[in-house]
Amino acid sequence: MKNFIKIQRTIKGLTQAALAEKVEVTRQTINAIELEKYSPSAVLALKLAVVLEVKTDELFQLEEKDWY
Amino acid sequence: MKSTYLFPYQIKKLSGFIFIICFCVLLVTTLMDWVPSSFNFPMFAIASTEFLKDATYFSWIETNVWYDLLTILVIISGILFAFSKEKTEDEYISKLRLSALVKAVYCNYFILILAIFFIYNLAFFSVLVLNMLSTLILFIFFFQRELISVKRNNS
Repeated sequence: MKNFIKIQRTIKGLTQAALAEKVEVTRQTINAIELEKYSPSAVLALKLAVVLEVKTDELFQLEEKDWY
Repeated sequence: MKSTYLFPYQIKKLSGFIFIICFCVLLVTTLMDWVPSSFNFPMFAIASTEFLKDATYFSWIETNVWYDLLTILVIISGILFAFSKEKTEDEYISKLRLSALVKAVYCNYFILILAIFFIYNLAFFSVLVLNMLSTLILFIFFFQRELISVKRNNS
């Protein structure tokens, strides 16, 4: 799954640590999500969308490989 | 993320310290085949089979409980250390924990299968004894390795 968290985070002027604090996770989790090493839960994905003030489908995009 | 099955973070350091000390003592006394004689006590045994004797059930026996006490300490402190929360718990840590647990179980049974093929007779008894602790030790190893790797990649 592709995500645009880094782009949106940069637009909002937030560091990984600041974003992590707002969504109540560790900085390592935000880093792992941005590097596409970890797919967040639905709750975390929604929290990220609320904090970054975008829609969830603007933040995450399904890829071909996610269907298999 | 709320994890209801984990122990508080506050006991991590103490349980880790006790685990390492007791495990080292257990290893050293086993290798040196030494038990302190002051640990002989009468114990209630549901089942007991002494060497070259018939099995006895639901009876009191005189035995040295040194290895029993050490093993119990290792197991309890190991479980408290392995399954206590990290300083900051979230879903990614939970995922790393689950991944480490699965790896530990797979690894443990792979080693056991190899032991079944290549170790026989009384030597296999040592394998069974080690197998009591190996899943826990492997889990602690894999999980701590993942945490260190994540912290290193982020720094």
